[in-house]
Amino acid sequence: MASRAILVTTMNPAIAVESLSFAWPGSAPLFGGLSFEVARGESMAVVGASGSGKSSLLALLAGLERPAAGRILVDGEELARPRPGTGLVLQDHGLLPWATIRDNVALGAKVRRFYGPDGLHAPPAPLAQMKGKTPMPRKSPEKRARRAARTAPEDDRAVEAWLERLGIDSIAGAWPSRVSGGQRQRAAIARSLVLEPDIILMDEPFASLDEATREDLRALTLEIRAERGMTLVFVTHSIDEALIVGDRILLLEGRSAGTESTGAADAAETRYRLFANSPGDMATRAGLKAALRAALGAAS
Amino acid sequence: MKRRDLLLATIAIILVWEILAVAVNRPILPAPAEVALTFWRELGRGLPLHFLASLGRVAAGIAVSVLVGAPAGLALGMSKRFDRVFAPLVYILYPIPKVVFVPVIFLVIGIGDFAKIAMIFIILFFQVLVLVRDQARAIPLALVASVRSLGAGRRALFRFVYLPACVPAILTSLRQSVGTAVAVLYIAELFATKWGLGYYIYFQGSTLMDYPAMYAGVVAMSLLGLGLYFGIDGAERRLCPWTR
Repeated sequence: MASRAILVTTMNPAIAVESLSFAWPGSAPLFGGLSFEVARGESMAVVGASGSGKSSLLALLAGLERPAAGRILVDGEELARPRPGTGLVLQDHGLLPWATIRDNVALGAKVRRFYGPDGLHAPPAPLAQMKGKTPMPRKSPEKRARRAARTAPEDDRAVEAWLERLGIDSIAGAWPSRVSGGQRQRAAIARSLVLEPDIILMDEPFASLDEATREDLRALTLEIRAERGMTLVFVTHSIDEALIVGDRILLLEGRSAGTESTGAADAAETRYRLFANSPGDMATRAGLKAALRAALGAAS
Repeated sequence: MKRRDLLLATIAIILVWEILAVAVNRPILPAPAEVALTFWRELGRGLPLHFLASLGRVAAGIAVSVLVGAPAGLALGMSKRFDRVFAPLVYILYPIPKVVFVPVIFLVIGIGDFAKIAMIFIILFFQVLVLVRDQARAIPLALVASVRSLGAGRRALFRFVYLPACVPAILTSLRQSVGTAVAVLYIAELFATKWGLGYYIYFQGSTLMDYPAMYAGVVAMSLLGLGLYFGIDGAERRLCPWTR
């Protein structure tokens, strides 16, 4: 079998999840001590049965929810709230119905200006070249400050550039309700990218799209990620999609999948597994697909 | 609504009125043409001032109810804790016909302009509060989460999500209750004032027995309600273009 459970430890991970546990009010706890790291520039796909906590994990990584136990480090700092360098794209695009596509794409910049250049969420990343082909280096404090003070015209230029890059500049003045699902999702991606994120979190972003649009958008997303050296965490229910997207695949198994945990270590062992992937190697993908199917079949 | 449809509806109402006036054939129901001539004449005799007095009161009532009701509704819709505390109160007070509070308001506030505006406020306030609260509650969590992920805290969520989301609810609540507000205005203007369409209609009809002038006042009050209705429609077209 090509797949294997692994524990990857990097020297300077973009994301480090340590002994994570979480529970929604009134629901059973999730994860039971989940620990893993995502290397800078790595693409990690997350798969799992329904209710295994895929979307909850993404909400935690986005800083939208706080862990019940354990902690999440992003860029070496404990995550306490949403961070402007992390983009989030949801299946239900999350566009404002009362704003045009252009205004939606510009929303992150508007929110930042709302708080002022020294405001609560002034983003740390410097203004990067829109079509740069090389991964971005770590940001210096001076560049961070300059980025935080980015002016409205600079924001406007970034918005227009991303509208064009995502192929939605022709519908920039339209309301989200008047464009296709694929165009809405392109706008959601552009909105995240305007803030120059170094991490992108995607929660089944293409699940509601037709096959052709899904393939187009997935290819575009991976192309932009590679260009900009972004770290990607991609939640999907599709094993095939996980195999295309992920350098590694995190398999979350529901509580019913394993034996009842007797302790944190045991729970961690039985509730998730990490698989190394080689998206370009068809033989590896075939073997891994079989292993993931078997694991998900056992979990459901 | 199309202008042609409105014109046809107006013609239909005038026709029915004309037929009824001929059938009844008494001074209590003058023909539309006579009322139109009287209306034209009364325009030079103070009817516009009565109209403006009524418009001022109803506009003030609308403004205060939106300024108080919309933030209160947003606060309840945005905060589960607030809503838990105040929801039972709203649940009890909302279905009570607010007209029953007219005597209470007269007793507590008096019978001046402030009381008249307060009555309109009470009618509109609950409507605005409930519709805005329900609208704020109905905003999808995914939408709020995605905007929070862009760095929006509570203030930015209010500015970019909750406030614009609730504008259609505010306008809908006004549209639903502006008719009742004008009706209550008529009752309120029967007391302690010499300005306002309510006073004008009552004075012309019951004291002077000038029925064409009384109907001219009724037409003016209808135009006031209609104007407010069209004004709200116009505001919706301007403020909520995505709903079209």
